[in-house]
Amino acid sequence: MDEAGTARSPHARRHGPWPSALLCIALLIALACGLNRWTHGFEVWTFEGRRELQWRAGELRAQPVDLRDSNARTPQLWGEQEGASAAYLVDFVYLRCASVCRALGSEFQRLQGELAAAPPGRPVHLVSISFDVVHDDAGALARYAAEQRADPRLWTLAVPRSADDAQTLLRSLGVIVVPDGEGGYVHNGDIHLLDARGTLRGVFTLDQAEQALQAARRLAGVGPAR
Amino acid sequence: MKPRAVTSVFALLPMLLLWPALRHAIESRMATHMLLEFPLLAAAGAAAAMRCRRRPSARRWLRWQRALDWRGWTSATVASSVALVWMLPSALDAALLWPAAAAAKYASWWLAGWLLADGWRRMDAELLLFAVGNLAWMAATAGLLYLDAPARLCVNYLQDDQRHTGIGLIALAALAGALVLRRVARPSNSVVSRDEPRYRSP
Repeated sequence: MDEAGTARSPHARRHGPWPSALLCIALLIALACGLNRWTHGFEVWTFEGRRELQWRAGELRAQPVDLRDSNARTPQLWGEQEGASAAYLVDFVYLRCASVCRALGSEFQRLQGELAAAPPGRPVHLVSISFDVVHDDAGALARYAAEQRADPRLWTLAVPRSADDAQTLLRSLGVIVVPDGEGGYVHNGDIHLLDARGTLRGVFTLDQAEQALQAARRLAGVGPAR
Repeated sequence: MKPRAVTSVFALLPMLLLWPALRHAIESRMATHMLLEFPLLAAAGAAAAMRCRRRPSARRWLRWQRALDWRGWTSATVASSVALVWMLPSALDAALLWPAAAAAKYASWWLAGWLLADGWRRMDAELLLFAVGNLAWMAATAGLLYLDAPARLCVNYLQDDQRHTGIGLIALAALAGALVLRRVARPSNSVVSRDEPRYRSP
């Protein structure tokens, strides 16, 4: 097409730069408004930052999925069913992991000891969920449970029934798992505090395990008020 | 290969992203996601524009597009905005986690390429320098951030990948800056007058 011909079009001659100028201003205003909304006032630039705002607003809730525990049973955890604990401390692991998952296991073992020493009633329950559905079957979970001396009344080790279930559960809580290129995974090593309905109420790093337990007890109504 | 065939191949490139394995291979690495897929999507939009504007039926459309893209102002604004948005770590993550964000990413880069195919030749040297300088500055800033950040800024990518992308973005910024300086420093710097007479008020 003859570019000069189109450039001399009646539209361009009639309107000049103003339509373009107005369109550019409108686009820039839309961009500024969109960015302001997306970044919560130009303050939150990462997924983790957005996730924190979401859980603080009570917007993240663990989707109920089919799980298998170390005895190949289907544990009933958070949700609408009877007998749910008032608070859950949940971590996401894979059993071949020799770093953060092992450290989380040791912390949960220590928290289990504290829960066992508390008055009966079991208002706080520990849950370790493996996202490696290919390798971590019931047998592997049972070996890990024996290694960690996990008491099933206080600490449930479970794995989703399928990779889709694992993704559904992880996504619902904003947990992202990335292959590390060496057969393992890079993942969120935090401790998640969930209420009886599965709503995420707090996120604690590994060295905040004690605070996580205190927050869980407060949520369950058995700890000192803040 | 004939130029027309090359533009056709480029125009159809985004169709390859419908193949999940290829899309995953490209988007699972931050460097290929930002430094390969984004430019290719823009190139596909540009190639589609070049193919379409040869058709007589596109004449009316192009007339309207040029009326709304005076001397490439709108092209420069759209391209800068698209580049800014998709350099944000949270936007990159969103494009991998939510199909709607992924669609917005494909469409926006493609549109930026479509507009630039016609708009960049009509830009005044000052605007070209400003737009590409702005793009280079954004890429260099994002690159330095990705390079220096002590933790992962995108949850979907490893830190090594993030560093490599940072280096790539800084190199891209240097290249873009050098190219635009070379172009505006040409003695016959009359890109506008070659393709379109300057607008004069009646």
